[in-house]
Amino acid sequence: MGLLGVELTRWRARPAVAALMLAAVLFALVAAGLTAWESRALTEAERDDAVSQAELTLRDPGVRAEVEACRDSPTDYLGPDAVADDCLGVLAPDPERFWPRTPLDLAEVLPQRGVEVALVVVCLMVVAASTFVGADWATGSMRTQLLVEPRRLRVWLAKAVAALVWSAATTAVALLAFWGVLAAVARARGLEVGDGVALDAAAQVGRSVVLAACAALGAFALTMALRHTVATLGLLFVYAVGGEIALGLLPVPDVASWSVGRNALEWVQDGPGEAFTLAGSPYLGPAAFLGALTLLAVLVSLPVFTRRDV
Amino acid sequence: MSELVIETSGLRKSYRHGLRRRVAVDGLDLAVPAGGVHGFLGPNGSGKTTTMRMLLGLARPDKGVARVFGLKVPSQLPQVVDRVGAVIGSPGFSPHLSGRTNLQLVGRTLGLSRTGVDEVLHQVGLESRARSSYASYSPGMRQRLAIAAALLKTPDLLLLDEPTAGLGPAGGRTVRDLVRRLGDGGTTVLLSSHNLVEVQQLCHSVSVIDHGRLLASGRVDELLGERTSRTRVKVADLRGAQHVLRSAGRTVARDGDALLVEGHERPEEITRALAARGHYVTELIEVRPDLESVFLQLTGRAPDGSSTPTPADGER
Repeated sequence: MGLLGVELTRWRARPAVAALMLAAVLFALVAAGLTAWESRALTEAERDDAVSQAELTLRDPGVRAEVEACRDSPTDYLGPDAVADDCLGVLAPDPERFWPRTPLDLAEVLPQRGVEVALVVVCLMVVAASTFVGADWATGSMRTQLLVEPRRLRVWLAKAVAALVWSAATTAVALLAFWGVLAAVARARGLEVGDGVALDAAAQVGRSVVLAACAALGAFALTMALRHTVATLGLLFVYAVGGEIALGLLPVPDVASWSVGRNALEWVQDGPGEAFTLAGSPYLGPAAFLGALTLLAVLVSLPVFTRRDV
Repeated sequence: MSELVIETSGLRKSYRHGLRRRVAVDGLDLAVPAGGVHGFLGPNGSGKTTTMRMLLGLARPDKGVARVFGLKVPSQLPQVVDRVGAVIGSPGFSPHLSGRTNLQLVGRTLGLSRTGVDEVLHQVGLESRARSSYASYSPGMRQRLAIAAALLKTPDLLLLDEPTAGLGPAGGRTVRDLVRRLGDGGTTVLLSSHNLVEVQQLCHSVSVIDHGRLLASGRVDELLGERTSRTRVKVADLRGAQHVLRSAGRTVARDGDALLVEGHERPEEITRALAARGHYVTELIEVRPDLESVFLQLTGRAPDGSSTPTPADGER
């Protein structure tokens, strides 16, 4: 416990890592604020302006001709049960189409900004985990630590758990802050947050926390092997971006399922896409793919760290 | 024979250097007895630091056996590490944390109380700067903090690799006094240093290595005792006096504006022999053997690795 406590302290005491944690939370709060601002209530002037624009559009000869044609033959336009009086209601432009913004809808936020925020926070945790241990190598404090505790496996595990715990906790705090702010805004605006949306958001936060913990563990493991933060981040960048380009060029079917970005995206967001699919679950495939990558990083890192000279 | 705290047998370590391998330690047999300060001497690149790193589990030997307190390292190092403190290479701590916090983290790893931290800070004379960030420390202060970290365990064995390198006169003296106190108090200190005067002042015994091999080992007074004193003689006519002394069966070498005569038993015979031929001595001093001359004779190199001919290599 002593060693783990030391590593947990060391993580939060490193200014660059603390700044990244703070940046993650601030980013989530700013994103929530931006979402709230972009969906703020319409002013009377904006509503009046939308009504005017709808009326103006209705005066357009093309639209009027369309409505007249519909009235002549409503079933061709609107289906077998339609009557002529339905045409104006359906084809005339609704003032809502001219609103400068849409009201807050948390169900819409989930697959869009919710996913974006989660992925950015995960990326920040990757950088934090790599910085945390890269600094140990750069300053020589790794050698000092090994002079005190020569059991390298214990040192590796303590640092890994610290990276895992802090990145998971930071991600949870950042994303709960994001959704908390949006839920409060929705309630303040008299919008109902349905149980389904709340559960979906909670599930997305949970999956994002797991992803952040795994990604941080993988970045930590690679840095322990490479002994350099920049080398690790460079390698990850080449793998993520270069791999994406390479996959795009390969004339192989379903090649997108090998993309780390797609798998991460589909793990966080709700619904199947181009990533791996296993046993009919949209999550099992990405989980297996990302888990295998993390495991590979760990399997490379452990023997290198425990056997290589320091 | 006293108990051995460190014992190596046939220890070998090589590093990849481009396409070739460079042997750093080549079958080293080292024995460090318990108690006192043991000097570990060798020119730059002779394998001292690599040997210490292997003893501490930081590097793995290619071959051979190393034992600390009778236990094999690195496999059994965890069983003895609580008794071993070390300062190897340049100190490494978290730069943004204070000296005290850095030591507290080391102490927490060891399960020690905070009072131990204050005690070692006092021992190395850093208590007044304990709250300053490590990044603001001078090289000497960093070195002293590393020694403080090594002392946190109250070790029975302390390995110090060039502990006074980069220290100012005051810092160097603090460390030397500390090492002397520790050695006198029963701690075994293995001290690697380029400063041969320092080693001669501090160490009870020494091991000299070069090219990763042991050249000599033993008590300092024994090593020095194997070398005879010499007599430095000043006369007006050096060439004539040299001829006279050689004729008298003496081994003589030129040493600047004087002569160096092997041995210092019966110096009156030198003055008598010279005076008999009209050479009058203006100065006659005994030159005692020191560790530097022993080192130079053994390695043929100065401690910094440069080739330096000994005065005795002059004409005879």
